[in-house]
Amino acid sequence: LWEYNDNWEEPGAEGGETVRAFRRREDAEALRDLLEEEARQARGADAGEDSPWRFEMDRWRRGAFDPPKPDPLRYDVVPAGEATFYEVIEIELGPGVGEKRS
Amino acid sequence: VIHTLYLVRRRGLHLLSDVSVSLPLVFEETLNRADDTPRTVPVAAFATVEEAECRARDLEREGRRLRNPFWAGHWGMWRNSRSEDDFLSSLTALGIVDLPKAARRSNHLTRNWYVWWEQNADEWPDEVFQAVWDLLDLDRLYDVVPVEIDL
Repeated sequence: LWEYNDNWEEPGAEGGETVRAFRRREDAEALRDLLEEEARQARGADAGEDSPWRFEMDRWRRGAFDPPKPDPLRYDVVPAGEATFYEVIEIELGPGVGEKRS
Repeated sequence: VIHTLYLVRRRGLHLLSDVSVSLPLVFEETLNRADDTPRTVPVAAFATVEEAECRARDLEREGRRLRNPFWAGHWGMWRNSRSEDDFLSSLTALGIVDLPKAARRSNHLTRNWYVWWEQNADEWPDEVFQAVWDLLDLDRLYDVVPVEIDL
């Protein structure tokens, strides 16, 4: 997900590796929270140093189709403890797909 | 039990701004693996390929209203198997008469397709709008792939 640009970490294109699929969003959110916390701790280990990792979160403030404003000074960077490492993606299921079988 | 489903995927977008030309750029990226799989976002899953392709077509038509095909540059040859002259002729054949003028820039002539789209695309009837997008035959957001899943 993250790519270093010599100054901070920035998100690449959308998409990535699927970890697990759930029927209920709450279950997916629970696993995401767990994995997120682990990742934040792992990446935030140097938070007390002079140059801690910084993550540019602007992409999550915009929709997928909203281009950023051409303003290089408006970067929204956060420390690892506030960064996103996992996402929950909800997908549509067609007729009969995913129904529990008795 | 392993079932085959048909997954509708959207191409992963990576939008940046190019301050030198004041237009958004779309970057194509991969997972940087040996197989260079393009990044995609899962959207929907169906039991049959026909249902999935029907949904992908509907989503493609909707997605076209949300972006400018020339975000990626003034002339997106990589979005279009046609030459620029052929594209211009095809637009004229669709009844579009207000075409971008060529202007000299860095010793060669260019047309500002990005601004032309911003100023005109919303005015076209839907059938013309979709036909113009159809001309950009290499630019598709959605596709369908089979996936195996344990349900």
